[in-house]
Amino acid sequence: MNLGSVTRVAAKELRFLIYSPIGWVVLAIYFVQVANRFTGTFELYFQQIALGNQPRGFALELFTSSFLGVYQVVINNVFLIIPLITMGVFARELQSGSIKLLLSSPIRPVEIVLGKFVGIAAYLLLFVVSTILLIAISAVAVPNFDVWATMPGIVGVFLLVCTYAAIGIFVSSLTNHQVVAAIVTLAILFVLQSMANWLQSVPILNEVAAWASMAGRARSFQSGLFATPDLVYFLVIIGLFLVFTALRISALRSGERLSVVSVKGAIASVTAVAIGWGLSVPQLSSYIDTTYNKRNSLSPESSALMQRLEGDWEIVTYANILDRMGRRLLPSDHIADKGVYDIYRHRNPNLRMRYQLYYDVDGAWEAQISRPEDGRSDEEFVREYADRIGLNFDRLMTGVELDSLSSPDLASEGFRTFRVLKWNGREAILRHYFDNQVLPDERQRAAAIKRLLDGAVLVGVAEGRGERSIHSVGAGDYELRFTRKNERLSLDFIGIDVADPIPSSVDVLMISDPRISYTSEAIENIRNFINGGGNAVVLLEENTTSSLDVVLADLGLARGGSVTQQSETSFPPEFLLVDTFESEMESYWNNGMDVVLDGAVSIEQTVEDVGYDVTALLRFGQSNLGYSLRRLVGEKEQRILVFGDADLFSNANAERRFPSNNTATAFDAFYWLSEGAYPVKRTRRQLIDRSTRIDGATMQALKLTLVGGFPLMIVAMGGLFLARRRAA
Amino acid sequence: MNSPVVRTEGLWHKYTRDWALKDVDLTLEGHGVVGLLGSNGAGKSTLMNILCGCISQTTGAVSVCGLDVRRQPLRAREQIGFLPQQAPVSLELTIEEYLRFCAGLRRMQSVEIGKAVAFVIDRCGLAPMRNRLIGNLSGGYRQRVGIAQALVHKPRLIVLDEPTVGLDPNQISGVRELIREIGKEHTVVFSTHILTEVEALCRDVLMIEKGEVLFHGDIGSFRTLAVPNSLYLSCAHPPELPEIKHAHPGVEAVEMISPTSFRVRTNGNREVAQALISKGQDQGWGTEEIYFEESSLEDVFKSLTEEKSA
Repeated sequence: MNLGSVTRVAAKELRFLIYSPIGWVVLAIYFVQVANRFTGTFELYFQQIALGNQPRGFALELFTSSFLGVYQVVINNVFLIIPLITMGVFARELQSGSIKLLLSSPIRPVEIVLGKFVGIAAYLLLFVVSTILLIAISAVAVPNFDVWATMPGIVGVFLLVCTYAAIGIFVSSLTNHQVVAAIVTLAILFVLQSMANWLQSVPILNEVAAWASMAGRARSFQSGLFATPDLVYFLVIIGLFLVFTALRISALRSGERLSVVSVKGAIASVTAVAIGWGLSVPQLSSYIDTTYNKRNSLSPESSALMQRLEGDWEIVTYANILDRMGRRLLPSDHIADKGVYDIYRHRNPNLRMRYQLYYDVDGAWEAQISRPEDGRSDEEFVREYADRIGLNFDRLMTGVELDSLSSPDLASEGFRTFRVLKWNGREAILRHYFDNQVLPDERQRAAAIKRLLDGAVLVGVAEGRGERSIHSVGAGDYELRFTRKNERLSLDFIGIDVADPIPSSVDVLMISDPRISYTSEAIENIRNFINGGGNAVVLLEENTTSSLDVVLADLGLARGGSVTQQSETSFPPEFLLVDTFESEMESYWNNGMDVVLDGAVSIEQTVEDVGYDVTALLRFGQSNLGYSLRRLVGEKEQRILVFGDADLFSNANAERRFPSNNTATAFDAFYWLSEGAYPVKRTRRQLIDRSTRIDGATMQALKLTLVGGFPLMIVAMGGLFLARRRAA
Repeated sequence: MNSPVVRTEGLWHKYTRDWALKDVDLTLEGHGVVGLLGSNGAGKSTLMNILCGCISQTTGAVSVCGLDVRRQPLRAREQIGFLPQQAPVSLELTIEEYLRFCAGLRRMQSVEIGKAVAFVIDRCGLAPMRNRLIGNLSGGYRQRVGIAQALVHKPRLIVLDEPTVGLDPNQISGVRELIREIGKEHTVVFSTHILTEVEALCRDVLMIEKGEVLFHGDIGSFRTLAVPNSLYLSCAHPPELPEIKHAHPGVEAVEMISPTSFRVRTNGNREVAQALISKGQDQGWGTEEIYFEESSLEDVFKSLTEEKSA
């Protein structure tokens, strides 16, 4: 390889673009596109900030987001302009015969091709430079702008355009008509761009298409992640098409038959795929997340769990196609859904994912289906729906049929949509709830993995004496948010009758506002559990049965009077804005928000020396509304919480729309009670590039300059330069 | 270097089905211009493309300055300057930029490039427009630039494929003069189908037809082949045809072009003219014009093919 020859051919190719209008016009088109997206998104959040809606982070919203980020517009549209750049690379030389100058010179085909490519790539660096200009503007306009997060995207943009260019160069070498080259290149790039979408519900092919999708491969870079497999992918594709082109140029000289050249091309392809696979194995892969909050990586907590999860593991998703979660897990969603778990696969690649679709009309109670009263059977109804979403109804099982075949108990999951994680002969269920995120978030996934590794924490909930029910959806009950359905807590809740001795499997005992007196046996069972060192949470109201007072007395506590607020705020009078919460349990605490209680009973510490370290948790005026108690029992630290308001964990409280720390209190309470096991924490820094230092006039000026002035300047500069040169 | 500039042995080439070159054995040595003659489709361009490395021969050995074009293609091509039928110029560059690029492409040392380009610009009469865009030049100047790129790196072999086609008469004579000049220091192979061009420029002539070498020799021996063998005769009082026919034993045939003009085919004996003049004077033909017609390429082919088959 003679680098001098490569450089010379490259310089000439670059000059050709600079000395032709097309180079300038295409650059201007590119810039208008990215600048338009940039200023549009910037202006949106610039305006939203005034309304108190901060962006998650400017680097995120402006660049790395797949929603309105600059890189997204590049990924979506740049394939449209690359053919204009590459169409002439060889077609022009073939048409004018100037290819013979190259063929008769002491330069190898591979040097010619590489030179041409490097020249085009050098031109495409102008795309990178103009994108960097936008980053530089952001860095000035936004304090603490997360510049690093935007860097992989820059590399990704460059790799993507270079890959498109390599394909365009190859096509250009096949014809001596530039226009034909441009159209064919455009068609090929369009197919490559859309293939993953077209094939997303075709089994196997969708995997291949997703693996091969250039736009898809650019996404990791876009999001702020350097992923070596994606880097290798782009370099291999570029290399492959350059080899194809070199074979084609060699064939111009040798006159080799198409069959011979095709065989060589096929060998090159196989080699490329092999190299690609080989370099993408997990052992050789590395991932560098450049974002400030490491949002493309597992949290340290998840990471620590994955380190322990060795060997094969499996995630089976049972999706009721009628419920709102199942409707997001249809075959066309599987590739994207699997993509969510790539981040885990990087740690342990032996992950198998399966999807088991089924239907159950009654189980889909969250589905919001308005079934027409047209006398059709369930089957007919579902058949039509399945047909419309492209599923073969005849291969679809009902929930009951599937239940009889498979190991998880679908009936006890209510024929809903959920996942089962399997590892080492153990299983853990990951449930889906139609709340604001639908699919489980990282903490919930982490909790499921933790349950695989460490087993669950079991909360025994006393029932049968008018306690708050974990099975019912009443406002004061605990069903929606704090039973097994509360995936976010990730605890297992079971109802127990405290009249029987409390099972040893119970890790935490919960007693919530019993209205009917416990029998003396029940009280003895509770006292034995607590005095024996068991963790417990007791929630009281004014009307809670006084039979519980003995248990409180063991803890040195007694119920006082009820506390209500004579409020001047806009809250209803019975709501208490509780001031402080002093403990080590503050992991979920949102600063600046209060705990809001729906009426409460004060709790007094009557005896100080009962062997517990007692800390007051919730305070309203002079009244204490909650305590934490700790003591050492043998090796173990026993932990007990007592709250003066049973509504703290209630359904109504959890659904309350105004910002409060109630949910955080529940999280913290169970995190503390389960000795830090659940819910799994996720420490991730908050982004700090959430404000801007520019004003409205600057914003307008920026918009005009970037979308109008600058591109016009590029075109004018080019025009002037070319006109002067043409006069020579 | 004592190796011949060009040597081919058993050179055969075919594109798809038919052989474009058949068993060409060739040796070219020393400076001077070699005219490559042949009609369209005779194989001239194929031969030139093979010599210059643009096409790889089907079988046979080709070497340039002793370097086999297959085994040492890059070094062989360093010895070659090639002007294809269409000048391989870059319209978007100035003459100087383009020639610098070509010189670099031929692996000249960068320190030498400036001098070499200046020299060749001067040599090809391009000095006044060295900074003009090639796209703005006329055909004749583009052709000069094409020749300049072929010799900028001072190759031992310069191959010019029909360098005068498409030029006006002034430009043609300019380019011919340039080729003559270059031939003093390089081995120049240039193709044409114009006989006078060969006679005016060449030291050697190589003639190919249907892929085969019909003739290879110096211009002197070529002239004897290309000797004119017909006379044009026009008379005020034309005689009968047999009278002309019997004027000299060298007359082979007579055809009437018009009632007063004739074409007299001879065996090449130049005395026929004298015989016709004196007989015309004796018998009062009133001879107005008599001259040897220029021989055409077809005539040469004809005689060569006849000679070969004889």
